[in-house]
Amino acid sequence: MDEHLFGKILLVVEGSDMDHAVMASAIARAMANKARLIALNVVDHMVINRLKRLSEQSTAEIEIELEEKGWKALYFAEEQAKDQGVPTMILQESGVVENVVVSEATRLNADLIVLGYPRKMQGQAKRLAQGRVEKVVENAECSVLIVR
Amino acid sequence: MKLSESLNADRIVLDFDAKKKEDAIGALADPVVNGYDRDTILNEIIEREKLGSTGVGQGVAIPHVRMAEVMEPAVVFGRSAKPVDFDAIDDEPCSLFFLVLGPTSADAQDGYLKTMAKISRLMRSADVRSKLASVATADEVIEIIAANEA
Repeated sequence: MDEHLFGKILLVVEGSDMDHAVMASAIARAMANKARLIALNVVDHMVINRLKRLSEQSTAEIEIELEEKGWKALYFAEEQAKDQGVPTMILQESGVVENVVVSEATRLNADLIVLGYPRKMQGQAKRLAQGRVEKVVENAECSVLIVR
Repeated sequence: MKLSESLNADRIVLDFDAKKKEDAIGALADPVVNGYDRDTILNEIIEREKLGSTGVGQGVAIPHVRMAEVMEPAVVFGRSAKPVDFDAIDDEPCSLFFLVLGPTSADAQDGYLKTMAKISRLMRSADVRSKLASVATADEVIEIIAANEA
């Protein structure tokens, strides 16, 4: 592999169990390529709506909880990357995950998107998450690395 | 612990003078250097900044670092008299700052990350930013944060 194939890597953080493996993979590639890392979390509108139906929390309460969880995951990623000497910035947006990931990758001129594949999920949640990954692969203008 | 509970008047610096990023970090660190070596703290923060600015946009920066020298987590709120170039993500200069210092111990990590998450969410609010930009006293800063944190 060319040592500097990727100059800017977009790491999609989800606040899930997959994050550690996805982060490790993105950080390793950033180090190998002397690339900058941009960690992105998207507060997912669909997740907000689903949680709203399943809980007694208000939409605002759910948004606050998801936002704070997202920031926490982002700062964790930042800490892991900076500890390895990888230049890193963090970004939190809201919307439809696959659309935001693709548009941010384009806006930021990312050379590679790194995201996780939902192996441990089940049922509808798994199908939705797989659909998101497929849409990113289909629509991204740059390379996509899926971590299992 | 709530963010407003981790701040007190001694850790709020209003309208400090700073021409550049290093000046701002120095002004923010001064309230917490008591007992620590000031240069060590400043160097650690500045070295960390070189790996990616903590200017999160909309005039806000959240410099942060975990250090072996720090025994207790510490949060400082600061407002500069004039906006300072902080290499922020949106290229806009910053005037509202939170400095977060944390210990390196594994059991302190969760609290450290939660603190920065709370600050980041809080400062996304244009209303909060506007109020913090115009308050006159440290007590008002704490009141605004207490009224708006989850």
